[in-house]
Parts: sequence; C-alpha cells; structure tokens
Amino acid sequence: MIPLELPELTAIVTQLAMVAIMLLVTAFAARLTSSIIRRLLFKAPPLINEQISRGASIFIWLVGLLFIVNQLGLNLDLLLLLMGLAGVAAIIAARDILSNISSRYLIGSFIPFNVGDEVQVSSFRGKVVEINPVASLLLSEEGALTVVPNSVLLKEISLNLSPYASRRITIPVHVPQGVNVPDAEAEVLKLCNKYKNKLDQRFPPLVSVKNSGQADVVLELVLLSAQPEKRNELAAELGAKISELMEKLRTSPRK
Amino acid sequence: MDGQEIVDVSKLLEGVDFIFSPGGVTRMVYPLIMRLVRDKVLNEGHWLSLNPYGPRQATLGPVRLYFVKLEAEALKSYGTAKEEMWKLLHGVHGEQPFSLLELAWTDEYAYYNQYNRICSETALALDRELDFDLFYIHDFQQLPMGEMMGTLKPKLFRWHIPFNERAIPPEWSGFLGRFLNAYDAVVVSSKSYMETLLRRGYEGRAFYVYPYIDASQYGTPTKSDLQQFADKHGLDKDDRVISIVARLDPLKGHDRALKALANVVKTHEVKLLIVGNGSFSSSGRGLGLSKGEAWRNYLQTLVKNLGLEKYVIFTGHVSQKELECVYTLSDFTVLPSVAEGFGLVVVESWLYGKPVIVSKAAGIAELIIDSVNGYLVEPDDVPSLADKMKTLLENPSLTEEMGRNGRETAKLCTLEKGLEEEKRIIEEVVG
Repeated sequence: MIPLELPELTAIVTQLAMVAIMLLVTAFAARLTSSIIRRLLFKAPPLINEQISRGASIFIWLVGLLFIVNQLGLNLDLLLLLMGLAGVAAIIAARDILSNISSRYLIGSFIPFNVGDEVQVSSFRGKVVEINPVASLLLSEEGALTVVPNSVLLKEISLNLSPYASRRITIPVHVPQGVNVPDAEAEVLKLCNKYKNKLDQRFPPLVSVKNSGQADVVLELVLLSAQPEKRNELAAELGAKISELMEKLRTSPRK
Repeated sequence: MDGQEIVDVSKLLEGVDFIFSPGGVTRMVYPLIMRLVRDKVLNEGHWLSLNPYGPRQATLGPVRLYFVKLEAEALKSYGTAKEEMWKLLHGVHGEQPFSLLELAWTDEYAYYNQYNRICSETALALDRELDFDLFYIHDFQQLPMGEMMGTLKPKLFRWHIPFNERAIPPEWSGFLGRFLNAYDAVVVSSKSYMETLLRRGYEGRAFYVYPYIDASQYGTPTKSDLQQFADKHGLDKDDRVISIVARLDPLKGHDRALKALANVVKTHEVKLLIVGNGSFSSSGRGLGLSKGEAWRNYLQTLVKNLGLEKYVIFTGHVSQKELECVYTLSDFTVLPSVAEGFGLVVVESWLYGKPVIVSKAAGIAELIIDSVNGYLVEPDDVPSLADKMKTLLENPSLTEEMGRNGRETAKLCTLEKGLEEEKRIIEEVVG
C-alpha cells in the first residue's frame, strides 16, 4: 500500500466533498424543478403531470451526473456517447408520440373536431369525449371507447357528423394581466354583436374560461359563421379585432 | 351602510336601520338555509347576490351575505336585459327583442353576462377559500353561472319563474339547454314546468318542489293591531274586503281585478285592498327602472276612470304584522296574474283560512281544485272573475268552507314539506 501524502489526501477529500455538494445541489434542483412543474401543470391530468415532472427530474440528474463525472476527472466521451445514443433511441421511440402531439395542435383549427362532436374515422364512429396530447377518444352509442391517435386524423379521411362543424369558429382570447376578465368578456361580446349579420344568429356567442394563469387569462370564444366558406375569413378578422381590443384595454386606465 | 366592509345585521334594528322586505325567492331561501343549519345538514350558508348600495358583506346568523356591485352603466344595462328576459320567459311580447336569441345579441345582454361572470368568479374564489359542498343557484338571472363556473362540484339550479310551453318555444332549447345542462339537477315549481323543462333541451335530473313558506312566521294579529290597520286605511268594522297581495307589476293583472270590481260594486258593498309596492328591480333604489311607479299611476287612473275611488285602497309596502291584518280582515283574496311562477300569496291566504280566486296562468293553479279550495279563472276573463267574486261575497258559508279546504292544501307548501324535498334533492345531488 502506498501511503498518501497529506496534500493528496486533502485533494481527494476536497474532491469527494465537491461531489457530495454537487449531488446535493442536483438532488435539490431535480426536486425543485419537479415541484415547479407539478404546480404549473396542476390542471393537467395527474398521470401526465407525474410523467413530465419525472422526465424533468431525470434530465436534471443526467446533467448533474455529467458535472460529477467531470469533477472526478473521468473521461466524459464514453458517457456522452452513451447518453447521445440513449437520446436518439428515445427520439426514435417517441417519434409516433411526437407526431401525435404535433397533430394535436392542428385539431380544432385545421382539423375541425371539438369535444362533443359526432365523428367518423375509418370505420369507427362516436362522440368525441376527449382530445388529449396523444389521442382523441370516441365514445360509440354502444359505450365502446375508440382511441384514435391524433396523427391518424391527419392521415385518414375523417367525417365530422356534427351539423355545425363546418361553420364553427373558435377564437382564443388572451386577456392581459391587469385587465378585468368580466369587463373584457363584455367588450368581446359587444364586438361580436357588430358582426351578427355575418354570424348564425340562432347561436349567440359563447365565452368560456380556458386557462386562468398568473400572467394572463385565456378565454375561448365560440361562434357560428352564417356561411361555411366565410368561416376562416371571419375568424381572422374577429381574431385581429379582439387582439386590438385587448391591447386597448391593457393600455387604457382602469375604471 | 354603503361602503362599509362587513355589517352584522343582528346588531341592527328592523324598521329603524333596515326594512326587511323579502321577495318570493328570499322568503323561501332564507328560512331554508336557517332550517338546514338548524338540522345540521349545513354548517353555514354563503349567499351571493346583487346589491349595489349595501355594504360589501353582511352576516345574518349562520348566513354570510356577499354583495356584488356593478358600475352604473353595467347595472342599468344588466337591469334592462334581466327585465326583457323576464318578460320573454313569461310570454310577454312587446317591442323587440321578440326572443331570447335576439336578446342575446344585444349590448345589454353583454352586461347580463358580465354580472354572471363576476358572480361566478366570486363564487369560485370563495370556494377556494371555504371549500363549498354545493352551489345552489337561484333564479333565471343567474342561469349562466353553472356553465361559467365550470367546476365539477355539485351544482343545483332552482328555476323560480314559469317554465311554460306557451312562453318558451322549441327554438330556445339550444340556448337554454347549454346553460341548464351545466347543472347536476334543476328544480322547478310545478309538475307541468318540469315536463316542459325536459321537452326544452334539458337532459339532466329534473325535480319539482312547490315553493314553500315558514307558516310559523304568520301569527294572529291582536284586536288592537287590526283596529290600527283598519284606521290607517279607512276600513270600517263591517266592510267586506277583497285583497290582492302582489308587487306592482303589469303581469300581476291588478287591472283585471279593478275591471271586475267595477261590475261587483254595482250590487255589493266591498273594498279592494291592493297590497304591495314595486319590486327592488323596479324601484328607484334598485336598477333604476320605473315599472312599479308607472303601473301604480296607471292603476290609480283606472280606479278614477272606473269610479272606484271609494272602493279601492292602495296600502303600499306593508310590514309582516300588517300583512297578517290584511289576510285576517279579508273575505278572500285574488291573484289575477297574466303570468306567475307560482303564487305563494295564495298559500298565505289559505294559512288564514281565506279562499282564493286564481288565474290559470299561475303555477299554483295546479293546486287549485275548482270550487273546493278556490276558483280558477282565465287571466283575461274579467266577467268570470267578477262572477266568482260575487259568488264568494254572497255565500259566506261556502267561502268559509273553501278557506278551510285551502288550509289543508297549504300543507303542501309549508317549509317542513319543502325542506323534506330539498333535503332529498341535495342528498341526491351531493351524494
């Protein structure tokens, strides 16, 4: 056994202390990130919330591990290579999931499906009871639940059997921080009244609160266009007018 | 009290610091909460309502009241939309809007919506703090709240006004349905209203509960109270008296009673007491509308034109004690409404053993057995109303018997009966 000199021993102890501190910092950062994500996603389904916060925690631990390996003076290349390969494998594995997630953002705008609509995809028919980031769930009259991956809605020809789907306009309204939501809603409704001749008057505008965050509140305005071919044009014009209105409310002194 | 934060009503003196003048809904809901607390079904009640002039909050025993305020323009527009909606739902069509759908495209409706959003946000904020077990929303002016709150906590809605097939066409089903279906259950005031509700877009659990009153609150006036009331309103000891207890509103049909009275006084000596004022909404202190005052002026002119000055007495608002005197001194009462959600004044009349002549347009018509506990008349049939008045004036023993029968029917509308039904519904909804 080779006896260690005091300076060497000191260096080893210091390094171990550094590693211990880095482990503690990593553990704290992972826990903090996980907790923040849980709070931010409190309205998301618990399972999704749990998975996202766990994923973030694993990521923090991997970064922490890299720093620790570096601190120990070990070769990082092999670890980076392994992590890179794992990342590529994860992306390949998640390709379908990512495709479904990106398709989700087209549903409702370019693919006119909403919760509550009666739709048919391939030979499956039912009422849309949920549109989540990965799939849309159809409930048939017999009570069977069909899970349609969102990407399938892009690839397959689908039918929306709800009578008003072709004329429905859905506009997200971002109410800026500091603007009173009931006041903003009243102004949006008054604005819609100016367009009533272009809208189906049997269906007055419906506003609901979609997200009530700390920065702003997101409302959803649903209208029916009188003519299906004017739907997009009307949505664009109304959307622009509403954005202008919100900006005006944001800058005007509050009563 | 305006501008104060929290007022404890128990420390105030009724008649000095405040006037207790509940409308039909409050007359039902307040005792309901008190009884539910007494029976330990509830720990406490939190009551949210519009009150532009009151303090921010008030406490009334186990009930905490939260007053919602609107700015002047919003208050006026909300009031206009509410009144229009009320007329439309009662089947009264004047000038535009002709339908609820037209009304929903007006700027006034935007403020009706705003008021409901404020109430919804306030209720949700209170829920975050107090963790409610049930939201019990009352009356049509708060209908959108269930949909707006979005919470999955149990939500019960009580529709107090008529839900008549004649007044509510199938075209409104989509509009009403989207709000009604946001509730776990809807309660209406009669079986026929419930049947219409289910035919007009509502798909959930529906119940009917006859409106109810706390009979223990109706005492027997003393001789001196009766003498004082008679002196105040110029009534003689031997006067035969007919009463209409209703707020001053064209829908209450006072004009029909006056026209019928013009016929009756040709052969009978009788006094007609018109008891009540305009509603809060129609008062200058309320939503700034002048419906009550305008209707009073119209009725006073009608009295003059029909030569009924010495037969008709307008009492205005009366206290509870005076109301007891009204029923005690009356031979019978009349409710000639053009449209009427229910008509609890009929139950009050029965409590004093006085029969009633009721318009078929009133919800309580469902409880009238013609010639047994009262008479039913078509709202526009003035000659028939006059005939029934004469019949009751000419047959004191029949009047007495019908009054006795009415007292039995009144048991269907007592707080005890209502409480039993309400508890059953709450248990079913809350689980």
